[in-house]
Amino acid sequence: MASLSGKNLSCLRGDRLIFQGLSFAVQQGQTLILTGANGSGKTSLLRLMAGLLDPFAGEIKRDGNILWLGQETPLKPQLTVLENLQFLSCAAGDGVDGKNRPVTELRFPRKRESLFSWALRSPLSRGRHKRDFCNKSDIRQALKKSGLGHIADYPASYLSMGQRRRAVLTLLHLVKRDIWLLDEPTNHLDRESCDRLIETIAAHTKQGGIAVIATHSPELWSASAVLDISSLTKDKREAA
Amino acid sequence: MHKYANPKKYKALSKYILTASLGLALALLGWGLYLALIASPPDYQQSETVRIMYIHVPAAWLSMFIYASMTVAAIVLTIWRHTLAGFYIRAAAPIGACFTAACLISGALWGQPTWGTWWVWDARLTSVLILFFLYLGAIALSNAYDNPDKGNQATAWLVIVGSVNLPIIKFSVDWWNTLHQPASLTSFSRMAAPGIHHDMLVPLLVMAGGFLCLYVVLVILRLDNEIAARKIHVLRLKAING
Amino acid sequence: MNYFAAILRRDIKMDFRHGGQFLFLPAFFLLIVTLFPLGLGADPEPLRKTAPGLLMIAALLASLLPLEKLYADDLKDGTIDLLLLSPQPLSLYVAAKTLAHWMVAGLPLVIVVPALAAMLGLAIPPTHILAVFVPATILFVLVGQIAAALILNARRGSVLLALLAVPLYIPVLIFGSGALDLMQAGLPAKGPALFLWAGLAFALPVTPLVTAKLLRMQMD
Repeated sequence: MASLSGKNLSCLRGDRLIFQGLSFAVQQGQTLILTGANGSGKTSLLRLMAGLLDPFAGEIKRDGNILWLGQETPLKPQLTVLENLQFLSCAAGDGVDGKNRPVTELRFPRKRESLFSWALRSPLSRGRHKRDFCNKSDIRQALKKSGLGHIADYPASYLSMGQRRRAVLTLLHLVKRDIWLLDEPTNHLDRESCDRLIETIAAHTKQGGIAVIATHSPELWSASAVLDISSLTKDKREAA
Repeated sequence: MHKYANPKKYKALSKYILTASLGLALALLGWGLYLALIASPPDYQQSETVRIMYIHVPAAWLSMFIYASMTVAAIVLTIWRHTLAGFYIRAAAPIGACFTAACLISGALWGQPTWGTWWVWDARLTSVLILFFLYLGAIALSNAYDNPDKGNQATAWLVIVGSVNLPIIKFSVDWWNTLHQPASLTSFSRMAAPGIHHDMLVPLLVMAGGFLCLYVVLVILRLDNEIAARKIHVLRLKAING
Repeated sequence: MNYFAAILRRDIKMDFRHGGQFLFLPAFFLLIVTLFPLGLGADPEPLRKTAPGLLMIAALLASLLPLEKLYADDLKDGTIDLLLLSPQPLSLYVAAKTLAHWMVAGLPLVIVVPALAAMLGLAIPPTHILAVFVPATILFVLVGQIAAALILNARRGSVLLALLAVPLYIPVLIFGSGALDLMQAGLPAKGPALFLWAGLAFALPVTPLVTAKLLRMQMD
């Protein structure tokens, strides 16, 4: 049962309070759309959800494993598209066995870990992992699905921005995860690939997955919920 | 102790420390300079030039003391994230570099009449020179970040890595010195501390105390600057982002 | 494919396709060594005497050169984000990265050192030279990567990198050239050479952990 929720989250980056008192909850099979003006904290919230950033206060509960696709496209120009995806699907983590879905519950501000606890934590304690997602023919198949089959063996430096985005989105087919966190996934995408992405996400949620999407064009998506951060931060600002 | 990690509480406390240490610094330095320049006897070998020692040795002690205090602050910052510890590293590094430079320059000035050369590559001088470079690295790194917090954290790590490395550097330089230096040069052991005469030891300790108080004054003034600069930074961020 | 091997393979492949650091670095190394006879004079005796120090300094400079970009690309294009969310610890990534970097930037230097030593007239058997240069070049990478991780978000990265890394390299330089000096004089040089290996034994487990911590810090 995948779920993702946050209560009373505050985000402080450097000396800047980006938002505070933010709560949300996403159940399995739901899509959450994050919108908001530039600088309102969409990416920060998404990073909080992923655990790439610690909230200043509040609590986050994650039930399920995460696939994170940021705004950048982590493709190396010297490697072919296939090699890039081979590495990414291996690095993004080997597929996690469905039975061992990690549940994390974090409260902030939390007690600081001791200096070395992170070093002593064994990789084995994080759940048993099954790896089989670096298979070349699987990747070729997935690339074909996203319309990149013909350039699978080209160095990534030849790709246009939209093609790079599509190549990275191919990971959605390769890595099995419950919670998808996508930051502006439609950037540079053409109409057709946009539709394909929307279909992919609909299929994912239908199977009980969760998708959280930060975007400037919420009208594209058929979402279960839309969270507009800028209105929220504005209220807080006026209240303060 | 943790209570004073809060800049506001620190401010209330620092006012008293500043006044006290300023008074103490003036008194000790005045007394120390009188003792060092007038009351203490000239050395029977080095005659009057030995008086440079009263600047040189306290500066050397402080250069090491300040780096050690920065290491403590760096550990505090990385474990407990006290902002003030980060400010302290930024505030202390340039002062430490200045004392280290004072030590090197006074050493050169002392070396010229005593050994007939401005600089010798003896183990102690070389180690202090390397310490000076460690200070420069910390200053440069802390100023190279757009995000001051991240700059402080990075500098804290550099200081920790540096202080782990310092004993290794000291050891290696000492070993290098025995390997490369002809025997005649190693006889420059500056001053055998236990052998020093009482008439010289008292002014030396008074001067060291004066230097320490002077350092406290300087570091508090710089800390105030750091806190003010951070306030400006926050105000600017607010103006831009609301 | 194994996580560690995947990173190792990717990095080596990337370097080979990127015009081959592994060829240019030894060339740069040779270039620096060439400067010394040109600057100091071609008289073989002083060259032979200073050769240990010259070789170590040249190797130090050549190792410093490629460090700046070590983590910069992976941080900028979001690869490290993905790695942080993977079940594997980040220090494993750092360890793989370090090994790959040494293979393309350190090992080539080690391979050409005996030839350069011969050019400077250093009369030491190649195996002894390697016993010094192998730990020295690995230490240059291990210690240097800490500096590389420190400067990731900083301005004026390359100058800063040299200022931060070189003081930390000093013990390696001293023991490395000291060992070669003693070897050349026909004296027992086991002591300083063993200091290098001891340093390696200390740095090997510690530095990847420190660097991983630094990368994490640079993230948020």
